[in-house]
Amino acid sequence: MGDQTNPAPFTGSGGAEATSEGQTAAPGNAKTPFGRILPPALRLLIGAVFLYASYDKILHPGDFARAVHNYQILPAAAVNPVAVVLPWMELLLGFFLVVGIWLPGTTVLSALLLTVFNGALIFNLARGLDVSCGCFSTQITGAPATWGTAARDLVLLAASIYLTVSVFYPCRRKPTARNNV
Amino acid sequence: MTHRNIRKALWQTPMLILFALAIGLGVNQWRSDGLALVGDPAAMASPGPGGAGPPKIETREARRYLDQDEILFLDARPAHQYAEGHIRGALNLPWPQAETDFIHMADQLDAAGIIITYCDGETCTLSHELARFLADMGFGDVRIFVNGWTLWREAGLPIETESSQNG
Repeated sequence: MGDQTNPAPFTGSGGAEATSEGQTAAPGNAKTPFGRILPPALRLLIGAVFLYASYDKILHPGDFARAVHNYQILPAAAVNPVAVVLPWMELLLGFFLVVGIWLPGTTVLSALLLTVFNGALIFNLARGLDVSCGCFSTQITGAPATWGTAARDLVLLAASIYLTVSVFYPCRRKPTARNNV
Repeated sequence: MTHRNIRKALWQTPMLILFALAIGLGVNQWRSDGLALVGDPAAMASPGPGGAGPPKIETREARRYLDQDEILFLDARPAHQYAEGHIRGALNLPWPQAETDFIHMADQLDAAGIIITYCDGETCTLSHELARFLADMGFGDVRIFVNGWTLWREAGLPIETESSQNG
């Protein structure tokens, strides 16, 4: 990130300290504006979504615990610890994604977390359980989650996976380019 | 470069989890409305601030109240669902019509020592609404049997249908 020569500092080079990394990643990305803009845009978007999602849960841990309990997946003893820690995980990930630090770790963990969320939601939709999503609001009195909710979450998961891949495999002009210092 | 990022992910991911654990547990310890992390799993089944509305009961407690004179089970579901089957002895007071219909069973409500409302499903709010309404109206000890109909049936406890009542 200390790379001043790179016009787009967050090209998904994983918060790299070395300038050579930025240069390796930059030309290939610069070739297509789409590829240059998309990863940082997704990073900000997913980060903002995580921040937004964490807010209500951190304020109302009891309500969130009830939402987690309603999923009827975790054993009762695990419900409260998860309800206490998970929102902070989301806040941390959201903050790190928006600021753009520790990207290898945050993108992997974001994708994992979203995979788990999707799995839980789809599992319950498939077994016909009337759960409320508990994704952004802890109010379980709202409308139950639908396949539309699942579709929205899947899009977010896809974006998150794309972002992760872009961090680990930033596109380069020449695959053989080797300018390590 | 990719290898280096994998190495980074390998230490950053557990670090992030550790951070979240530390902050989450720390804040929970410190805040006044923190959740109990260990203890009776039954109590944790309906976590949250206790002051929010009528208390909730579990199947164990509900089954103790079966066929007791001073206990009134109230089915908050629509009449046709009640007719298809309900907890034995339960009366039907569908929400939201209950706001006006409760007057027809005011005597029973008054006589009941404990009123237990229920509907079907973990997220069904009819029983909550009805319980809150009755508590606000000043009817003694109102409790909610969350997901009552399903739990009651799963426990194999006595039920009755409209036809079995008439016959």
